[in-house]
Amino acid sequence: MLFLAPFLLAVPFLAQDRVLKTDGSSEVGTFASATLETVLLRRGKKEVSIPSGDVLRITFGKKPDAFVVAEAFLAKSEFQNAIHQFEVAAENAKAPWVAPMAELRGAEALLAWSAHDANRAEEALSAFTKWTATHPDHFWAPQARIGQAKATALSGDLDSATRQLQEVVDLAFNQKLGPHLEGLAKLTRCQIYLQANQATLARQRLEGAGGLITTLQDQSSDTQYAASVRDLLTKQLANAQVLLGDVIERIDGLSGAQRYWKGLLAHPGVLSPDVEAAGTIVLALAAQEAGKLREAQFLLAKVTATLPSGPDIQARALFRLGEICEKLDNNPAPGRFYYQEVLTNYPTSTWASQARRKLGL
Amino acid sequence: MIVFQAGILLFTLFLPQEGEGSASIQKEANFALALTLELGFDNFAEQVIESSLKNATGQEDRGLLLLRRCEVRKVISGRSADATERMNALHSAGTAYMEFLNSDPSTSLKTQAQTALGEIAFQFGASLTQLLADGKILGEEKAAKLAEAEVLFTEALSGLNDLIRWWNAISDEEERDSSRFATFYPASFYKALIYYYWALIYEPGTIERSENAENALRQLEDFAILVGEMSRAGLMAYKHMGDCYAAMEAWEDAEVFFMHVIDNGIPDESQLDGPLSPREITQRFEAIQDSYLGLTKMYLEAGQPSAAAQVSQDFQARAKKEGFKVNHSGYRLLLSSADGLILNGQYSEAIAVAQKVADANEQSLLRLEANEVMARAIAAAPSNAMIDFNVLYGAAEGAYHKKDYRSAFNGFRLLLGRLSHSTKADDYLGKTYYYLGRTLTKMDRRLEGAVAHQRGYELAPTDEEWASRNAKGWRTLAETFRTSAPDDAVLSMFYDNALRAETASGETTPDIALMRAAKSDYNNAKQAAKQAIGKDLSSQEVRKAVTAFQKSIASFQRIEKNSSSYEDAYVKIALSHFHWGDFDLSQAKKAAELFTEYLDVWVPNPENNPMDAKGRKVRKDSLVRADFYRGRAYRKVARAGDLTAWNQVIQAYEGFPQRYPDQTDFSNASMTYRIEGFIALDQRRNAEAEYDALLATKPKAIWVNSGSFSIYRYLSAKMDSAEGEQNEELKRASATYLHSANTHAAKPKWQNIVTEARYRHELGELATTTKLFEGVLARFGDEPTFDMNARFFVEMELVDTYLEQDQAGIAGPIINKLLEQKPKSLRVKSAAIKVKAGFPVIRMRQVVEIPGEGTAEAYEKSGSIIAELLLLAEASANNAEVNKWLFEGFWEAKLQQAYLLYRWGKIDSSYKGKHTSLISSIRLLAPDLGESIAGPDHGQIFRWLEIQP
Repeated sequence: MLFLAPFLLAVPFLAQDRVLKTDGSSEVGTFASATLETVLLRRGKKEVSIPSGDVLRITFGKKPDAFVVAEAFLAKSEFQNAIHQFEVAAENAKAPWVAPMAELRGAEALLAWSAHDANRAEEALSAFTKWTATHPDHFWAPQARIGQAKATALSGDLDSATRQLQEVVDLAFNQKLGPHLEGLAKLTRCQIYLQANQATLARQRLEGAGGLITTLQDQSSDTQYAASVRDLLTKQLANAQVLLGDVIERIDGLSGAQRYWKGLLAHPGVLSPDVEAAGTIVLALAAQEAGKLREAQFLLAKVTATLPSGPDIQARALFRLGEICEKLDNNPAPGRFYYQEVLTNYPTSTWASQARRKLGL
Repeated sequence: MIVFQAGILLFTLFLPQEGEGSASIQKEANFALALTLELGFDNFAEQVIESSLKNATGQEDRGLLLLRRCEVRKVISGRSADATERMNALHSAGTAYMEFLNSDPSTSLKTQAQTALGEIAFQFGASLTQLLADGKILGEEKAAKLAEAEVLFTEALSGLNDLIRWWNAISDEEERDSSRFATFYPASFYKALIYYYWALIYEPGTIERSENAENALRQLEDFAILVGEMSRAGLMAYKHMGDCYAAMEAWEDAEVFFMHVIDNGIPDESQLDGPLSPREITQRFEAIQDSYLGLTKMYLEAGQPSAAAQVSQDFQARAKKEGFKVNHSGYRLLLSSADGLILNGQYSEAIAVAQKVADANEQSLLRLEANEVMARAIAAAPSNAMIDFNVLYGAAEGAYHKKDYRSAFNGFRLLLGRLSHSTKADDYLGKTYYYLGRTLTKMDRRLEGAVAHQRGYELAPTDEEWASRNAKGWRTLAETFRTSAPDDAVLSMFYDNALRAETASGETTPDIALMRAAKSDYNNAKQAAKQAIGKDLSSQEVRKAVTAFQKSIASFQRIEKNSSSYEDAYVKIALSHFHWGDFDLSQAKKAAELFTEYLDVWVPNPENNPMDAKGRKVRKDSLVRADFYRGRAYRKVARAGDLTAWNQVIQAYEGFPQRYPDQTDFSNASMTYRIEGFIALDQRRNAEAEYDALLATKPKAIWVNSGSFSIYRYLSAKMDSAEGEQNEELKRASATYLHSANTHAAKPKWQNIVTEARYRHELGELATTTKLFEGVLARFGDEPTFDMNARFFVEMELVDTYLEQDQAGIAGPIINKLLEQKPKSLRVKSAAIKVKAGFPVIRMRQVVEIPGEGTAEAYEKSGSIIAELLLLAEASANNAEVNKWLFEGFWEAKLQQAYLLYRWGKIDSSYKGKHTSLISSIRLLAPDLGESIAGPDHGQIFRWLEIQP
């Protein structure tokens, strides 16, 4: 049994809004407004103005119940319910941040829905377009414009999508909103190139001395940026490395991708688990293609057992492991077991529907 | 989970009295109970009872043994810290009681057993409903458990109803009173709780749930009236009524009952006959905490998370104010606040809260819940966040031992992700992979379990404790794979490799035992050295440390050259000399020689190339250590005064990061040591080039801090002997490096930030100076070293900086406070006048007025301060035996006085023209208006004032 007082010293005031700054520090208060220039908090009668370029993100102490419920629905991929609850939150908004954020999250929910139902892409685009027109100078405008570009690409207008992303890059640079925002826009642009079957263009933007990967490598190790920014850049670097692997596979086939990944995996200590896992999966698929099923099986088992990578990569590895096990007469484990693991642990992943089919569900 | 723990209604089952069984059977029965109670030999106790039951002939003997079995199982259920285990143990105990009651026992034993069965049944209900809510019981198992619950609840209620009927039928008042507390109250309360949990196992909105909840409500209401609504038991009843209403989704009714307990749990003194005892207060606070938790959960179920968060905050505020002891409910509220911290991005704070809850609840289910919160925080934290590996490992291992394999799996993998790039990896890799392998095997993912053991062995083959376990785990699983597909070449090779690993790491291998003993000696020696640091060389502590290092060296020398541990032993011998060097410098030199011999003679010889995985791992680790500590040995010599050794430090570490690209911490340390070397040799450009190279390697903050602070100290020392532009340049560079050191310090020191601010001030970077001083005041206000005196100087310097930036208005609140705190300070007074009345300065040869507060009140206050200042200046002049008209301080005060009158005249006509009168009178005594004493600007301002209307 313990007295509570010592705990409380460590527990801050949860009800307050908080601006997390790029230098790792934070400011608390009540959110008043956020533009591309400044984020404004209130502390009693005093106003605290923080340049937007110094802000990494804003968190909110008290969220409306509808907003919380909407996020919970979104986490479970229950898009329709999530969108409805975001609308409820926006309509009944009291705090000044709620309506713009709820509308933005609603648009993002539609975008996420588009991955499962292509018909939703137009709705997502419309929602993002409305948002950016209503709040052109909002602090979250770059986030919204990246979403808008993704929705534009999904709707088939790839040229407009890449142009919109270039505008975000320019905006982030001109407003000094930080390299992480520029990096995100550039990375999204490369993803869209690949999606548009312009793999060569994506490769040009990712590779080489002036390419995105080199830039992110330099920036993520540049101590002029605070640790929190470098962390974001490191994650973008990992995504860019995985994307380049996908791009090379599209251009040079599995053998080309295998060469790329072997080169990268020669230095596993400096790679993120996501990159190591994604590369190991490609090596496993190459081994499978070469008829070395057992080797592929062990490589995939290494991913699922020991590499703490993201849900999509884990789901992919488990699914592929299930397939290999089936090909090896379910030895030493039945393939169905891994399909079931996908369903149990990653029910909202794109691999879950394939696993369901394999299980005859 | 709602657990009944008030203690107010818990009743110990009394041992049967003599005569209720034969002596030998009674002895056996008591022995069995003691085995469980005192020794924890649960299975043995059951065996003793089973064996005695076979020999028991009489009904009494048999009944006694059956009752003891009930008690044994009840003890076991109370001891379990795992939810599933506890639920099963409770069911087992319940079954034993039912069997006992069916054995037609004596009335007194039957009464006790019926009461105990009631208690067991509701606790089983609590465990079951929690597991159902957590989704840990599904499908067929769920159906089976619900069926078990129905049987247990029905039997328990039947017994409790018997007891209640029996008590109601008692006519003898004395007997009625004596059994009220032992039988009637417990039976009534348990009956209510059984109905409550029975309600919960049905879905919300169903008739069954409503009916059972209403039964519970009726029973609780009667109970509360019987025991007294404001008694502790009454409070508990009301709290449970809140739970019942929540189960029926009658949110407003539930809220009323929870709030009643929260608000009225501790009555006003006016309502009491006498003060409450400390125990009574503690127990009432427990009911209050349970109600806070109940209310929080209710709001969450009602879809009102913000109201739930508010309750959590209210609870914390009250606990802080009233300082009561936290119970399980309170801890759960804390964990929910930790979840809020995670959402807020305050990961380390969340981990700290969860860790404290875990530490305070070692043997409880709360420990697991706290571990889960910690794991969530760690998973959400950025990859470069500082995380205590012990916390992460402890959480995962704890989950494994509690058979929560999913959490253990996630925890161990999370740890592996954090271990990369860490110099502490070697301490955790072997055991983490071992338990990961075991966890996967328990999850029936044997293929992956084998792969985890394999990687554990291959990455940590020199970890004596865990390498053999990993190898064994690997081999055991590989063997089953090979048996399942004997013709598969890959599986055969997998098994062969596992077998080789197991043989190489076997416990019986002689050099492994020797290495383990030698490492133990080495660790003991390092421990002894720690105790001896700072002690006289002839002290007992130093002698002990030296002897320990000699022993460690001798132990490592026993490892033969053909052993795969030989290189490890070699380097450890050199390291022993290195640490010994703290007390005898010649040993540091000896260490450097040994490292060089290893690096330059042993390693290049192809005959010494390692042959197996363990040898290769030993070589890899030994190389980097030898290379790194050779430089450290030179550094030790250099720091002892041999400046030439700095060249050896620089040379030894040249190219180190390129040689070991994956050893980031060692590499970064080597670069900071090179910076130190260049500085010691007065090679500034080289030091700065090395620093730039360090920055380019993505170093942790600690290394940037170390490198930049070294350069700052060097430059600031040089500044003392430099003048003019050189001094300016050194100052600018010092400020830059000190800024870098401050921003990369884990815990920046306010003194260093103040020093930086002063440099910035001297460099004319006033905005930066202001920001730094403001930052110090905001961040270090509560730090003990930042005392009143320090705060005063920082605030004064901040005021001066504001004034220099013409921001007298901002300085107002600070100066008012300082005037109150230090009314006699000359410095405060001088600044206060400027802040209140404003002041004139010369810029571009023109007089510029800096506005102050400018109110009549401010001028009034300034007038009195100036009067005091003039007196002080006169006194100072007298002390210095100087005429006051020849004293600069006096002239400054006079000028401020004239300016004050001038400004005052602007808002108050009674002062109009008084400044010109004053200046005229001064001119009579000092025609140059003090210009020869206080400088030309002073004279120019006076002359300007003289012509102002």
